[in-house]
Amino acid sequence: MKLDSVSVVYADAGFLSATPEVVALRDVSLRVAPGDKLGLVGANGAGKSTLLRVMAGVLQPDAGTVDSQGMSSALLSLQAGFDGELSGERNIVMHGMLMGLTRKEAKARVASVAEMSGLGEALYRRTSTYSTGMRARLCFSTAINLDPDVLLLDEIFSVGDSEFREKSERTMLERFQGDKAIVYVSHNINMMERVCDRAMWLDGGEVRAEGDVKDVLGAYREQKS
Amino acid sequence: MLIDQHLWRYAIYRAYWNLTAEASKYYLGWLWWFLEPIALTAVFFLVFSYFRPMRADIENYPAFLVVGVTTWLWFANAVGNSTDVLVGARAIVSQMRLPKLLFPAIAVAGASLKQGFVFVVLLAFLGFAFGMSWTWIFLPLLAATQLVLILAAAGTVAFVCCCVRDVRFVVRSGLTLMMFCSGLFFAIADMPAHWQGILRWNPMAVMLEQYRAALLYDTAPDMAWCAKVVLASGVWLFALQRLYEGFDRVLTRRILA
Repeated sequence: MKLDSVSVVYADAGFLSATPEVVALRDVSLRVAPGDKLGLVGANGAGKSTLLRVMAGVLQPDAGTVDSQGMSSALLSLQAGFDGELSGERNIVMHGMLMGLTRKEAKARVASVAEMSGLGEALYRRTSTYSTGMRARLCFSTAINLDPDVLLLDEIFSVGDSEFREKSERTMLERFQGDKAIVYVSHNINMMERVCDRAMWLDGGEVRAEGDVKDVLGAYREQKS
Repeated sequence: MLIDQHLWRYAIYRAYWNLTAEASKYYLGWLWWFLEPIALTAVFFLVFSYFRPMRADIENYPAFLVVGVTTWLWFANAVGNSTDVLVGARAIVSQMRLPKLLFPAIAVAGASLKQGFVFVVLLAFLGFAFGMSWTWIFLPLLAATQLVLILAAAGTVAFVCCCVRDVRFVVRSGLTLMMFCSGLFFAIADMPAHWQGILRWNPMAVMLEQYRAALLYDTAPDMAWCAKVVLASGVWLFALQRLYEGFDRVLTRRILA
């Protein structure tokens, strides 16, 4: 996946209450090769989530180019597209069908998602009744079972218990070996150091540093302290 | 093809799931699919039969009303639900890139599934009360014509309301105005000649006349008119698809804003 000089500007419409434009990303270039484990760090509003959305093809940039180079991607965040009115099971099937599976194929994945998420009977309840930790479990288990070439993770491990985090980290490292790539956004830089080999530090929508995970996170830690 | 085949499949299942989720919220569940048109028919019947007896000279006025109300509600619910359908899809739009026309299509699919059951009950009622007619065989043709018309209208409303959210308030008033101009509780043919011409510019007014002709008056519908509506709506839908594609970036920003 290749991003060249990508810029994204958010502008709100309104004749009576015009709000100023917000530059979410400015001139960001990035390469994600098969097998890459890239961490994105930065303060709130630095543009990390916007960058993931651009990589997922959700947002088209205002300037610059994005080339997925044939790599499929799945974006995973706590605001994931789960419908609170539907059960966890139906949300899993829904996601599968949106990714091009038939209903039968999508239903066949429910068992493995159920096992990985450990949600048990809660899987058949409306997701609006789930805690944020339960949503994170459902989110992660659904996305990892879709088996994308690039998994885009947005703050997914900021909630949930330590057992879930450890199990997810293990699963992620097991499944995303070889050609599979991960782009991981988190404030948990210890976990990022374990999972990623490269990192990018975003500040006000611009790239402040990029390179080896230890170097970038070291600089980031230093600036924060 | 307006939307990929797998997304059509998804739209139909999604519409069905939405209907079951919606029904589970109410004590009377799916019974409201039938109670809503019955209640509206009863209101019109009371108002226009008792308080304005001039309309009561329409033969089989309750049947006249119920045919109009059930077909009108299909249009009004599908189009009315489309006003917020794109903004309401924020959660899924923020996760994956999907053709935005899918979301009004889901709203239309939901209203149409519901309408399928309503038609069954309507035919049972008409058959029981007045007997069957050979012209009922035109019902699928009329329903297909209305479906294409609804898709075009819902797609347009969803697009405009997403770009300029203020329009949703205008759509509500517009639907109310359209309801009063569709001959729901009066026969267009009873109006002065120059008014008839004006009222028939509203496709739902003619649609209701066609349904009544086939279901109540043993008359075959106007095929040429149906063909014109399907053609015009179809052409508009293809243009709309281009519009959605061309404005995809704008729509996404509006939804995520």
